[in-house]
This record gives sequence, C-alpha cells and structure tokens, in this order.
Amino acid sequence: MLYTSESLELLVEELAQLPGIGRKTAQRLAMYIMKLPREEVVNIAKAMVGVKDKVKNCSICSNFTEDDPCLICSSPKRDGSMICVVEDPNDVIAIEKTNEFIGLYHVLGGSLSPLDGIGPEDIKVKELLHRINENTGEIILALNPNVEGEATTLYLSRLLKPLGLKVTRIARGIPVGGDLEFTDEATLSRAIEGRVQI
Amino acid sequence: MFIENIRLKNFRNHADSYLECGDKANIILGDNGEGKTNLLEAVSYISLTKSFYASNDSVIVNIGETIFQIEANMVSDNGIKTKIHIGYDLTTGEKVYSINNRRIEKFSSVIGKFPIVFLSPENSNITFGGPAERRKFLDLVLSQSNQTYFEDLSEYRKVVRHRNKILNDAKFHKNDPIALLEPWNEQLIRFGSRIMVRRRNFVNEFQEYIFSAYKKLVDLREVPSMEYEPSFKTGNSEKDEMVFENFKTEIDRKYKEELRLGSTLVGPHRDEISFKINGLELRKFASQGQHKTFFVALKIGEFFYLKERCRENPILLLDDVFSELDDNRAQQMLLLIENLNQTFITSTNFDIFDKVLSFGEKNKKVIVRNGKIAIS
Repeated sequence: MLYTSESLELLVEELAQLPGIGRKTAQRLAMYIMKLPREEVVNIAKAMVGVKDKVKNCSICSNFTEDDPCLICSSPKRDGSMICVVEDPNDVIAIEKTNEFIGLYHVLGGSLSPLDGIGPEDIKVKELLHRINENTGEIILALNPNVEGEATTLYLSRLLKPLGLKVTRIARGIPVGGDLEFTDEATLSRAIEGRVQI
Repeated sequence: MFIENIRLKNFRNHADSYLECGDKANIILGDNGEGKTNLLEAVSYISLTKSFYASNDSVIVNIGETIFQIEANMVSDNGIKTKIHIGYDLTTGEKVYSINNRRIEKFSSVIGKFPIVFLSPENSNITFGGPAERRKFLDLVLSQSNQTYFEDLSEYRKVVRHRNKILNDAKFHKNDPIALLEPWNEQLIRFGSRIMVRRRNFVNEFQEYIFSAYKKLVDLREVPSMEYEPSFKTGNSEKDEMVFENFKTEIDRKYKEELRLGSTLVGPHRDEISFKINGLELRKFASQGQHKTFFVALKIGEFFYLKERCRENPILLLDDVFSELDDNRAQQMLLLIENLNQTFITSTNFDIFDKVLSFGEKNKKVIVRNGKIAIS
C-alpha cells in the first residue's frame, strides 16, 4: 500500500478526479487538509455539498442560481427584448463584469461538437426557441471564437433568422489597448474580414 | 539565422548535453541509437514548437524523468540574439515556450520565426509516396512562410473531423444530417478555399525555385515542374472567389456519395500535387536518380523560398542523408550546402567529411555516445 491510511488514499484518489489536478497536487492538497483544524475541513465539505444541494439551473436561462428564476431573469431593470446567448455560466460572469449589457442571457451549456457527441439536443437550443416571444427583439450570439463556437453560431442563426428577429454576433478582432503591429496575423485577418462601415 | 549554442536537459536520452555550434556545418557522428537525431529533433522543436517525429510530447522526456528542457541562443542574419527556453512537464502536461524570458501565449506565433529545412531518407517519400506526403511538404513550407495558412489549416482539420463524425453517424443511423452539416459546410468551404488558393499560388511561385535548384544539380536537358491538382475543378479563372463558388457546388454535388461513404470527399485534404520531368509524371516514369535529384532540388528550393519569405536563412537539418550517397555525390552535396547556412548533419561515417570540410570555428564535428556529446 502506497499510503499508511486507507482514508488518506481515498481522499487523494477523489481529489485527483478534479480537472487540472494530477496525483502529486492531489497528494499535496490531501496533506494540507490533514493539517487543517476539523471545523475548517467541515466548512469546506459543507460548502461543496451546499452548492450541489442548493444551486440549480434557472428554468428560463439555464444559468446557475439558488432562486428560480434567477436574479437576472427576474430583475425588472433588465431589458427583456435582448437575449445574449453564451456557452456557459462563466461567460455570463465575464459579460456581467463589463456592466455594459442590460439584457437577459441564455446559457447553452456547451457548443456543437460532433466529435464529443454533442448535438443540438444536448445543448439548450429548444429552451432558447421556447422563450422567444413578441417582446424579443434581438438575439446576440456571444460564443467562443473556435470552430465549435462558430458552428453553433451558424446553426442558431439559421434557426433564428426565419423568425424575423434581429440576430447579431459579437465582433472578433484586435483587443482594446492592443497594437496593430503586435497583433498576430490570423486575428488581424479576421478583423479585416469583419470590418464595419463608419 | 543560426544557433549559437543549445542545451538539452532530459530530452530523449540526453540527460544534460551542451553544444557550442559552428555557424556552418555541424557534423554529428555516432553509432545508431546513441542520440544523434535527438539533437536535430530539438532544433526542429525550437522551430515548430513540437517534435518532428513524436506526436506526443510525453515520449520525448528522458525515461524516468518528468521534465525536459531546451535552451538555445539564436542569432538572426542581421546579428540580433534571441534566447529560447522550452520546458515540458510530463505530470501536468504543461508546456512553456519563452523567448527572451517572456512566455509565448500562442505557440503558432513562433512558427516561421526560426525557419528550418529538414532532409532525411524517409523524407524522400515526397516523390515516391502517395499524395499525403506531398501535401505534408507543402503544408510545412507554407506554414513556416505564412502564419495565417498554419492557423487556417489547423481549423480546417478540426472542421473535417467534426464533419466526418456527422457523416459517419448518419451512415450508421441512415438519416439525413443536412441541418447538422450546414454550419460545418460553411466553415469547410471558408477555410478550405483559403488553403486551396494559397496552395495554388505556392505551386505557381515554387516552379522557378525548383527549376534553378535542379539546374545546379544536373546539367541535362530536363525540365522539372509541379502541378496543383485539387479534388475538384476550380475553373480556369485565376479569381480566388471562383474556388469558393466551385467548392460550394462540389459539396452539394458530392453529398450523396459522402453520405454513402461517411466521410468528407471534397477539399484540400484530398489535393494532389504532381511532380513532372519534361511533362512526364515523376512517380510513373522517373528513374531512381531522377527521383533523388528532384527531391534534393525540392529541398534546396524550399531553402531559398523560406529564405525569401521569412527574410531569414533557414537552418538545414540533414538526418543520415550521406549514408545513401556514393562518395562523389556526397562531396558534391557537401560543397553545395556548405555555402548555404548553418547545417546539422548526422552520420555514422567519418570519412567523407574530412575530405571536403576544414574543421574549426565555422565547421564543427562532435561525437554522440549514449546521450552525451563529446567534441571530436
């Protein structure tokens, strides 16, 4: 046996399941946990169980929430005519940080990826179509700039355009504060492709 | 561009090897399996941010170790020095590439900065083998000379794999996947036609490079040429938009067949590039000697092409090329490359080099034994 304690070994095994944590890091974390006072360990454990018990997906936008519908969906201050479609809850946090967007969100929970067996029925496409009504004016597609995100954008725009909605996508290109001469060629060529009239 | 010095730590069987390089020929001698080629592999790693041979970084780490490192000092043609550090950790899978102590975020931005031309006997499949070998040749030259090409190519490959999965599933379940395919078709056509236009232009530009290299090697009345043969007719028009339009038409036309076979049948991943001498296809009609000459001409052409496009002399890597040549040809070849740029040559044979090269500051000779470098 590698460890002198079975429960220690079990903890290392479980921690090593987490993304980005290999066996060595898991071992280090387990040793750290061993040294913590009991109540702190209980707090960590409670917090972990707490998110599992209390956090659910909003029935409207599918974002993580404790109240259903979520704070954003139920807020009277938000503009219900705009829906911003993103891949996962992290993207909502990122956009919320800007304090620029006052519309609502729709979290797909992934993007189309045939190789991973993810098709339209595996992400919240049906739910998006369901929530569209006469108040909906614009759908903003804010998916990641990779081939999977692009395929999802194209797929959704084909579904949404016939409904007579304004469908937009976020711009791709040069980061703010960036220098043209230091921008890599691929980004620059996409930026030229997506140029806008002024 | 040349390498001033290079250090390998736990890279393959090199636990800790350091080499002060000559700026012209560097002859790496040693028996089979001692670690000569690993030195060339490290140089290719600097240039391409990955190995020429291994598809997986973890196999490069010295057995029993967890981290490999490469450190090198590069000097550009106009004398500017660059410090490279590469590290890969087997346990986390993390790879760090830094230039002058600054971490590179996007590895693809390195490609083309330190151009290389690589020759090995297996490489000669470019002229003998199937179209995939020739596409690989084109991709490597174009990726080094054009960063957008490299990125388009990796996106394109991903799109093809996704698309094949949809087609293959549809073949199995016997349903019509058109709605699922459309978003991928659009990207296939977008990236694919950009790649095709660049390949077509490259083939046109490269003719003169290959012609002048061929002339240096043999003074026969042989005219070498290359032809781009895409998977569908792109029309006679030189217009780039035509490739895009014809690609679209072809995708529709081949749809049934793609469904039947469950894979993507249209696009640059099915291109052929044919090599010819006096208008006759090399693969069918050429002699062994003509194959060899054509291959060397391709590589010399590649050198000059990259030199012009990257505005930097490429480093030459010759892996065990001389064992295949008779003394006379070997001497000719050495004289030819001696004047080009820094070259790393692996060989098991000592004799040929002493006859042609004088060793000292510019030309160096080392012996590799069991992962250790000794100055000869």
